[in-house]
Amino acid sequence: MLRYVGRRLLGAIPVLWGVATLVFVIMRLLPGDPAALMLSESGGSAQAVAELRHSLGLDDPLPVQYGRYLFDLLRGKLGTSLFSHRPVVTVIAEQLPGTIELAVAAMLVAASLGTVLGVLAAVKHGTWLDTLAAALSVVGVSLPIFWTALLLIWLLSLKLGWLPATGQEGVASLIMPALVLGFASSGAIARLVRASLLEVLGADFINTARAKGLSERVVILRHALKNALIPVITVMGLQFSFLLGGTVVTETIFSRPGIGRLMVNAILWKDFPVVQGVVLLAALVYTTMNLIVDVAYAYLDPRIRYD
Amino acid sequence: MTERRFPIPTRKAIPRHEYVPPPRRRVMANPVALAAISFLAGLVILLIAAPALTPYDPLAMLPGQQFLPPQAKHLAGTDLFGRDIATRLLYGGRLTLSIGVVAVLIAALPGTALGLIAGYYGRWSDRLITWLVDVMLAFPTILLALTIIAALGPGMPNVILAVGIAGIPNYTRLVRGQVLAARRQPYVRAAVTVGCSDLRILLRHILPNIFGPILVLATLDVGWAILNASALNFLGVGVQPPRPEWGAMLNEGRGYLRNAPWVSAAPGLAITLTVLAVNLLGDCLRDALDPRRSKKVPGT
Repeated sequence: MLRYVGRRLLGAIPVLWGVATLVFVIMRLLPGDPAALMLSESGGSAQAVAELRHSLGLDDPLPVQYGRYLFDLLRGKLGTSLFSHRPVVTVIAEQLPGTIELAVAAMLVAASLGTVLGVLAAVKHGTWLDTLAAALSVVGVSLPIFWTALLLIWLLSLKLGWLPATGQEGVASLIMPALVLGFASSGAIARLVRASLLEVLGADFINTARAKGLSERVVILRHALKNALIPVITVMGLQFSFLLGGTVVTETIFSRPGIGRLMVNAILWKDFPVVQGVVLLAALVYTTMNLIVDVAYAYLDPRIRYD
Repeated sequence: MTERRFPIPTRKAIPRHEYVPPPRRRVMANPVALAAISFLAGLVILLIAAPALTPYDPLAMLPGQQFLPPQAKHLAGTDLFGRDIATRLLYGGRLTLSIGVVAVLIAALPGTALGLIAGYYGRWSDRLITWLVDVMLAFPTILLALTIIAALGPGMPNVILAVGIAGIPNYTRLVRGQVLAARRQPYVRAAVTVGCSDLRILLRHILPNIFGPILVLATLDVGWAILNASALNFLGVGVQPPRPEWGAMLNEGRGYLRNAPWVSAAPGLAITLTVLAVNLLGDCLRDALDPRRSKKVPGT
């Protein structure tokens, strides 16, 4: 197992290097000059811009800039925000807890809703419940997050006054964003749980469990679901990346502080170092999640031998 | 009249449970697929015929007509500037649908080409392309699109390009897998044996045989592209006002949710129904092209 984890860790390095390089290339295609942008508010002279360019190292040849960029990344340095003039790492670290809170809450909604729907659809295979679960999962992937969010705000805050429409105070303000984001990815999870459970329900060990005289509830919850959830873990890892992207829209609508909103504002304010930092962080999270999923997969399913 | 000694095999002669109709007939026999096709065809006709259907100009502001609720003269009501929302929906839909289709073409063409190369030639080209795909997949779609927009600047063409580029790796991965499987098939070996060029084998032999899954992905991707592009327009980095587009219209109505919920309700419903129709059609196409996935076959 350790060898496998080590190999996967090594395998992630080229991807992370590729991500860093792609971000560098995209950022260097930018039309604006960061130094000029930084001084645009104070109306800096051409000489001041040139001096700043020199101090930021922007007048060096591209390979030199690229080398320094990679070296800084390795030391965890992401540059300075053009807008707030503070280190990008600090700006991101301040916004990160809000996003993690939202992503984890949304994942809980997605996983529980998806599992319940998927189990119902599989157990009641071919009945109206199956059709309803299938319909719900298609609607889930077709609803734009930003519209579901507005509908919920209209209903639960403006009409009924149950929940706050915006902000980040307490659990109440987390409910709507988590529901919106979680519902969007519950459909994919429900479909997979259904397919996986139907496959497991046809296996010999399920017949054995039934032949032993176990109740259907125990057969499904203790024997079938445990095995059926293994492939679902893979999709949950991928869905986490989708959720991270979804926070961009959700945080903007619900005016929640977080990485997603930071990214949108950074683009509107042309704060490129922050854009670069957020994108790198998202890719790092995705790669790490994939690694965790793969390792969890090998650990949970003894039939899988990677070595 | 001479008596036929041997029955001519007809479709009826095939036992019912063994006969699988061709994909097109399976799609047309599916009521869900028919409903989705009818909805999308009706929508396209409505959007094309927009100038004949509405007396209003999508950009014309009507003073004194602000925030009128849905009524006979304004079926979906009016917005902050007194513009007829139904008219803006019709004109905006042209943009939203075109964005979806063009973005899918931008994703599918290079994505398929890369997949064909990686799957057929293998070796270093496969390793390089797979690595590129892994790198691109490490970005959440909307973040990759936003980064590309940050580089190219906001605006509608850049939104289409950004969503298109973000969709490329899905096609590459799908096509690569399909080509790897197809390469071992006798028809490809036969084509190699008779001396067909690589280009001919890829385009005339392999591509038509793996076209089904690509078509399914492309159909589902139209819905995906519409959702992502309208999210970007909603965030304000795409279509600029006063141009109507469904995502941008939703954003315009966001501030008036309390007093004029219809301003954002109409474009939201339009996006949802369109994406739903596209997704249902994609699902039906997948079922039709792969009979094993059909719900009527037991054991799947």
